[in-house]
Amino acid sequence: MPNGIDSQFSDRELLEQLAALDAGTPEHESFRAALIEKHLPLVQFLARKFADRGEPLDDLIQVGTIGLIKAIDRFDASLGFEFSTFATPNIVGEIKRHFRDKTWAVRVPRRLQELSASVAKARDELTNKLDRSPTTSEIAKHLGIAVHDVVEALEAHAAYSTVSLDVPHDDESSAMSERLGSLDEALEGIENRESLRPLLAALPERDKQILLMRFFDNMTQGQIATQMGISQMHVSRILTKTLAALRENLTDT
Amino acid sequence: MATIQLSVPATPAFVGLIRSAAGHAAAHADLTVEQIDDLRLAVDEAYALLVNVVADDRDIHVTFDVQPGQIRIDFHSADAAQPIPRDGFAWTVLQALVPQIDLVHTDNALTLSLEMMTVASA
Repeated sequence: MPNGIDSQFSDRELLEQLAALDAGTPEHESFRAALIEKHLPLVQFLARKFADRGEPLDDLIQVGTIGLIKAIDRFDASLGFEFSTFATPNIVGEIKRHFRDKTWAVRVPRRLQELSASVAKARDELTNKLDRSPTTSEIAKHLGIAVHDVVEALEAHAAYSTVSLDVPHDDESSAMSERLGSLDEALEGIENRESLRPLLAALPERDKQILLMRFFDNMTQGQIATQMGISQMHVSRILTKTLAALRENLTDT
Repeated sequence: MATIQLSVPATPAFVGLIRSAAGHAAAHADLTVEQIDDLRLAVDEAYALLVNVVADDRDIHVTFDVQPGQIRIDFHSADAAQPIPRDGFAWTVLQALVPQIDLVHTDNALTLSLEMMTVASA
């Protein structure tokens, strides 16, 4: 337990202590941390129930922990519930929200999710083997399925939300900011650049970098993928999302 | 090989339908999946350009001409009162995505064509 808070404290005692302390004080933080740590096994147990649905267990534990923290901060002992009774729906709710918000943007049948996963795998394998992006018929042949199934799977994959791609890339950001000067250069000769500049400037570094590489350096998605160390599919998703956002914001202004 | 025609009202609501059709049509032309991704992006941009210049009670006619190893997509409207700007960001994006773009605008009749050929060697 952090800061020597005795693990023999009951939930009730920990929560009473927590309620008595002012938020933001070191003591409050210690009791909060102790409660979080004490209930991590509950989070892990609940997260494992969702583990076979295509999301990494670590991610589920992470969002489950957010649910736990919310439960700790919202718990009202005067209502007479056991803490774990109160925490469980909060944790499960957070994990379910993760599935709803951050994975498949639309409900995609399980068959299609699985198909989509094998197509993605075949796509990577064939890209390495052929040294270029494969065609749909090459993927179909590789997997022994019909071309229209491949197309369907690619479409389904496009429905897979891009939210989880928005993780910060701290280690890359310094190299990327060196490229920022090229933004003005890239926008040279573009009519609505005044409205574009702030939109582009507001993009995450990596997304902006990828946009510049694709549309102003005329690199292919495959070349960008190699340079950035991500998959071409990932590049495609970032471009789709970024262009859609720019289009929407440009028409709003 | 095949010609597919779709007509949709000129509202953003149908971009998904056109994008999806483009993906399927391009697969039959045996483009690479990377090209299909590019084409889908290009279709989004092209469709958005037309929606901006065609009144929303009018139709946009989209023709997919699918040949082995190549696809041509024509976006046509007989009611485009304004020109499509060729110096905008969307145009820059289109040019980077599609090797061959044609824009013909006479009176109110506008046709924007995108053409792509497979890079996969058999």
